[in-house]
Formats: sequence, C-alpha cells, structure tokens
Amino acid sequence: MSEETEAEVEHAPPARLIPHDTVSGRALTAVIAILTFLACLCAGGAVVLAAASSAWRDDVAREITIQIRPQMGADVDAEAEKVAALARQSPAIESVRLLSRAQTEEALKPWLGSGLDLSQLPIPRLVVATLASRDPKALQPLRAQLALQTPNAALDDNAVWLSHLSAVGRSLTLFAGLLFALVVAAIAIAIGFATRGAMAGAREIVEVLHFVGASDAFITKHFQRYFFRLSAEGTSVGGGVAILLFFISELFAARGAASPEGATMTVLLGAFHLPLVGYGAIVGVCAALVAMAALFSRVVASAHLRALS
Amino acid sequence: MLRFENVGLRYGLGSEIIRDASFEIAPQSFQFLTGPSGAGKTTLLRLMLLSLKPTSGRITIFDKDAATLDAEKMTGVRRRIGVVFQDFRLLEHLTTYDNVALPLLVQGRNPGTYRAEVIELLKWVGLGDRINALPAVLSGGEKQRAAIARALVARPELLLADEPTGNVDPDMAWRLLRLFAELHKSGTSVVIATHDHALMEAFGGGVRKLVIADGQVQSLEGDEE
Repeated sequence: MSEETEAEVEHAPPARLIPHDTVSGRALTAVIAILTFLACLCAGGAVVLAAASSAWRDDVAREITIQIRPQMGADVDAEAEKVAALARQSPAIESVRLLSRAQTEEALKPWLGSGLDLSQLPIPRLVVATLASRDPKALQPLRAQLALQTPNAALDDNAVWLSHLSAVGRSLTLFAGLLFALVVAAIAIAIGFATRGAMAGAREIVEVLHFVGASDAFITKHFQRYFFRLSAEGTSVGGGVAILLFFISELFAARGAASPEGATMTVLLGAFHLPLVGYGAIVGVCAALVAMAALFSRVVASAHLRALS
Repeated sequence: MLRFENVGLRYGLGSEIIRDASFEIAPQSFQFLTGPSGAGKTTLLRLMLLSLKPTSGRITIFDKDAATLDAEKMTGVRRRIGVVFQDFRLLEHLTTYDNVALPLLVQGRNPGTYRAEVIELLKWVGLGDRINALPAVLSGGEKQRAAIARALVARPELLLADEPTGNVDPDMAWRLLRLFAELHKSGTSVVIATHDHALMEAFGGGVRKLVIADGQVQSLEGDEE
C-alpha cells in the first residue's frame, strides 16, 4: 500500500454510518427547506404585523380630536379658537392644530361629494391635538374645562378606534402564529415519518451495527446527527431565502413609498418594515427547527430500536 | 463460554429446524460446524450470535442467560463476539478501511488509536491496496477477506464464521485458516461453519466438529468420526 493511501486514511473525515447523499435525504432536505421558508414567512409576517399594528395604535393614540358643534346663537369660530387656546394651555397637549373651515369641508368631501356649497350647512369645527403624554388621566382637566367653558365641544380620544385596531392587530398576529404552529407541526410530522423511513431503509445497516457491538445510544446518535445535518441544510436554505425575500421586499417598499400609491399604502397600512428583531426571529426559528428535528429524530429512532429489540 | 441446553427453534407453526441441541463451546477451543447444505448451519450460528431467539431450551453465553439480557448487556456480549457472515454484510457506503474499523469505532475508540492496527490487518489479509475502495468494486474474495478482518479486528473472545473461505482461492483459504488458528492460539474460541471437507482435513483430524443434520446437532471430538 502506498504512503499516499495511508495518508488519505489519516486525513479522511470520520465515517458517516448513515449514507447522506441519498434520494430520500435530498427530498427531505427540500421539504424541510420549503416548510422552513413558510414558517419563516409566518414568523416574519407576524413581526411585521405586530410592528405595523403597534405603529397604527401609536399614531391614533397620540392624537385627539375636539369637535365643536355649531349651535343656534353661538359663534362656532370663536368657540373653536377658545377650545384651541384651552388645549394649548393644557400640559397634556404637545401641539394643537385648528382645522380651518375649508380644511374641514375638504375632509368631508369623500362622504358628501364635491361641487356642493357647504357654507349653508352647520359644519362642526375641528381641533386636532397631539398628546404630550400617553396617560389617559392627563386629559381629565382638559375634559373638565371643556365641559365647563365650551359645552358644545366634544373630546374624542379615539378609544373606540384604538380598541378596533388592537383587535385587528391581535387577530392578524394570532393568525400568523397559528399558521406558524401548523407549519412547525408539519415539519415535526415530516421528520417523524422520514426517521421511520430512514431507519426502515437502513435496516441492514442497523443490523450490522448491532452485530459489531454498537449500542442503541450509538446508533441513535448517528441517526440524530444525520437528521441534524439534513435539517441544518434545509433550514439554512429556507431561512436564507425568507430573509432575502423580506430584505428585497423592504427595499421595494421603501422605493415605492415615494410614489403616490406607495405613500397612500404607507398611510393606510404603515411602512413595510421587518425590524432587526424580526430577522433575529427568523434565525431563531431556523435554529429551533434544527433542534426540534434532531430531538424528534432521536426520540423516533430510540423508539424504533426499542421496538426492534 | 457458550452453552446450548435442549435448544429448539421453529418458525411459526412449522417443524423444528433445530431440535434439542445441547453442546458447549469451551474457552480457547476450535471447532468446525459442518453438515449438508440447508441443514441449518447458518441458523445455528445466528442462535449463537443471539440474533435469533430459541423457541425452547436455554442458551448461556459468557455465564449469562441469553433470555435475560437487556439491550445494554446484549451490546456488551456482542462486543466479545466476532462474526463473519456468509453474505459478508459490509456496509456499501463505507470504504474497506471504515468497514473493518467499524467494531472499534462503535466502541467509542479514537480513530488515531487503531488506525495503524487496522491498516496492518488489512495488509495481512491482502487488502492493503483496497483500503479506500467501496465494497461495490471489491471481488467476492476481497469482500470476504474484509468481512473476516472486521470480525478479527477487535480481538473477540469468540469468533463465529459462516463459510469464511467459500469465495477465496485455496492459497488464500489456507492463509485465512492460519489466521484463525493464530487467533485461537491467542485465546479466542473459534467456530467455523463449513461444508468444505478439504479445508477441515487440511486443518488435521484432531479438531472438534459439530455436525448438524435433520435439525439435530452432534458433537464429535477430534478423530472421533
């Protein structure tokens, strides 16, 4: 035997007792990659939705609207100025904007249509204020003052809107979480069946390993290592593609935000943005799936060997 | 070392393949297991290897009742047995070296501690040039020698060999037989299943024979035929 051959043996990697490059192994890697991609989309989607929903709630929660209803004999414009002045004096308010009559009429156009003469209608005046603090109790003095000094004014802190937005945000996040759980369950089932299949296919190998004195723990460890490797390959591909997709989508969304359509979408739905924690969640999902695959294959392999003995 | 007491084996409701077999394999003994083709030599070897459970009787191995061995103890017992299968049972995806080193690998030994030993053994059985070859490209004789090397590498206390010289030329058969004899001299009990009378004669008439015929096992001491 040549020295080269001996050197080859010396530097050869440790023997893989379970053949890796098999058709079923490649198929399982592909299945894991696809399911991981879907799981990462669900996880990333949940983070995006949670972030967007939080942003909507923040925006709405930071604003209040004070509506001054016109009444017979009352000067609605003077009352609006008075309300704005009261709001400016309140420590709970950061900034105040009194919408002009024209601005109010413009805001009503989507409901009433254009081309109407609204000057004869008793249109209320609006004061929009940004809150300095999120403490709902901080508004109490202003409410009291308004009730006392301008009974025609009604303060709306958007509580109803907020509760609706919270409910929608929670539902969407829950839905994404449910999808994620289903995909994880599908991966667990796929790994379970694949382990059983691999062990049945490697029956000859298992038998020989037993005959040469391999313990069940040793065989289980090698099957676990096999599935760890397969799942690591699969999740790397699936998770990598998901990260790339989110990243590219963010780039496109940022570019599109400059267009009028994009700006409208941003106003309505918030900016499409996966925070860093979202990317971390995807990596975490991949790591958790690999750990789950390794653990699950170990449990199934142990049970299979116990049944054999 | 290995004792069969009234051991019987049948598959399902069929007739008994092994009937009332009682014999003992003593430590440091050498014996042939012989009989006509299909008589049950391989089945008897599988019973000795504990890969089959008897339907009656008792097998005691290394002073333990085989029926009471749990998985861990079974592993311990199998590490003390070397086996050469008639169909070699080499793992097709492993090289000759890895196949032969397998019994040492499964014991958890560091490859660095046995590499030279395995290569030396491979050279001895004439596979020094086939060390990195996969079983698919080995000839029948080469596979058989690899299977024998795998059985010997961990220096077992009991060696069970099923037709170990069936696929090799007479020179190699004689060489392998000498290897078994040396192993026996170093303290291993050897059981060789064969129907090759020339091989048994070449070894001399003083060797014990276990003869199986019609499901019954008869022990003939040397020169007793």
